[in-house]
Amino acid sequence: MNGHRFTEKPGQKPARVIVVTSGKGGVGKTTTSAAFAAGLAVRGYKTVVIDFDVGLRNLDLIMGCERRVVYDLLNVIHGEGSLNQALIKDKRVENLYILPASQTRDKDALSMQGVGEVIATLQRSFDYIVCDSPAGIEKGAMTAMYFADEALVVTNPEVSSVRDSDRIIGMLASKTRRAEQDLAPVKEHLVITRYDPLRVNKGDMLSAGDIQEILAISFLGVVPESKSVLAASNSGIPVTLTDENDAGEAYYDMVDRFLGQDRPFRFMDAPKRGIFSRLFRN
Amino acid sequence: MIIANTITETPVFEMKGSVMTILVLHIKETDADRLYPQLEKKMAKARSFFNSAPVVIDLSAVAPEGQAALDFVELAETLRRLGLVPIGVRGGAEGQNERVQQAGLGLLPTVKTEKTVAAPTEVQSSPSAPSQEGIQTEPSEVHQPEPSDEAPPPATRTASTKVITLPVRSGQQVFAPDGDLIILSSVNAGAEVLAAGNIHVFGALRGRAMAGIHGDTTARILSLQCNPELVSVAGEYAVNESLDGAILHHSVMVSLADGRLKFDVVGSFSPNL
Repeated sequence: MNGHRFTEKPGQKPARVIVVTSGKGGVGKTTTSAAFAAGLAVRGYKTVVIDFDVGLRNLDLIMGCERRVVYDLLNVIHGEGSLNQALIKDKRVENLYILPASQTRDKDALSMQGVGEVIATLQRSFDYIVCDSPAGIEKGAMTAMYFADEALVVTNPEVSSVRDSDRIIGMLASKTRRAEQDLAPVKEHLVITRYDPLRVNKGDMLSAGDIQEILAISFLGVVPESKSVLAASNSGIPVTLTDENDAGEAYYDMVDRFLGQDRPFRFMDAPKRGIFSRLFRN
Repeated sequence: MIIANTITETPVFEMKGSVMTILVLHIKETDADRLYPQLEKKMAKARSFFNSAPVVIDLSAVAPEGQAALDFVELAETLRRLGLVPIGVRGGAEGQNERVQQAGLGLLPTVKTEKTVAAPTEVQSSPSAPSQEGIQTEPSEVHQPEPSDEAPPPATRTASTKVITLPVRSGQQVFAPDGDLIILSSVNAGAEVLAAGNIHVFGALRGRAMAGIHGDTTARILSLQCNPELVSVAGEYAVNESLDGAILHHSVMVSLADGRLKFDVVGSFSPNL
């Protein structure tokens, strides 16, 4: 029964490893990991999303599979369970799998070598591996980014988030396998979450242009501040799998851009309001 | 009871950096049975020339295994017995630093370029012998007030410039120990750039910049968009809060005049995306 999960397609390219990181906590890494991975799967790519936040795992909640977790990443690294037993297949989307983190263990139980082996195994049978990084610059975050080929740097339009993102970009350029082995550098993509163009126009919030000027990495898109995100989290559905909503649309735009297609940048300007909506706005 | 007021005490000394020229002993092999006899032979020929000359020991031509086999205490003592004053070691391999320091020698940074001058022919008896295997002594520059013969042309040590092309990100530190530092991008908030000489930032300076760190008071900091967390020239520093608002975000040159920092606007700059 488990055999079908690991059909190695001969001559297939190894999966691209994408780390979703930020430095700052609470900016939307897990929301983005879930939405992006689900988006890639919907677009037809076999995708696995891995939670690296040992002890504070959230990805299983956001993906809605918290009641099906038997084995986790640390169990697999320590040989207490096989990768097949730990991987959870998403019930809504074909091609989407989740590898949860351990909740009871310590992050020191993560070993770089063990993670490397897990990723190498997954690379043989998946198209994309999305690594949901914990906040900070400690072992969990460094392990999540070490094997990355590409990175989504999630940033809120707010000064401390931008500062922390800058720090993490510096680390992507120096503390990853690609940097240490002098390979082509990790490709960085800027994802700005919780963007509110009205507040940007008022001058309360940093604009996408300001953030791009400071961080100087390739811009993937903005995700607007949206009530749908909270509702989706609480229901355990990635925001790209819920009914049409602005955040979900923004994530699909980013997935398509990531896959090489041209998409105009939406959600960056304040919507034009007619006189009646201005009179009656709440 | 009188308590000494240390706050208003006038300083009785100053520590400053200085550029000097010095004799360098380039060692090629560390085999004691060949090195010391050859050294003694060479020194015997030019005793007065080398007498009490400070010398730097350069090990860059010696393999790490050779360096590990070298007894620094014995080398220092031999050199002193021959009339030289060994002051430090340059080009030592990692792992040798502790042994060098235990022998009472200093550690000097490796220099990228240097001009060398042939030893003057004041050396008695035979003309400067073709470099014997094992040792090679060249003055990097000689400043002997020799009454006789020619004064060797003064050679200057060219200081290397460090060039950085990518943004210096928060938490990173870039250090140019000799010479200038050129950043062809921005220095972000939370980053630090330091140089013995000048610092040129062809972008926004939002972090810390410290020029002239070895004491060069003529060092300057130039940036296209000046909004630093802290600037310092030869130890004199200013934080962002104390800067005149009129100079912020413009292209500015920071220099030292009469012991105080001076900020000159040299242009205006707007970033293009």
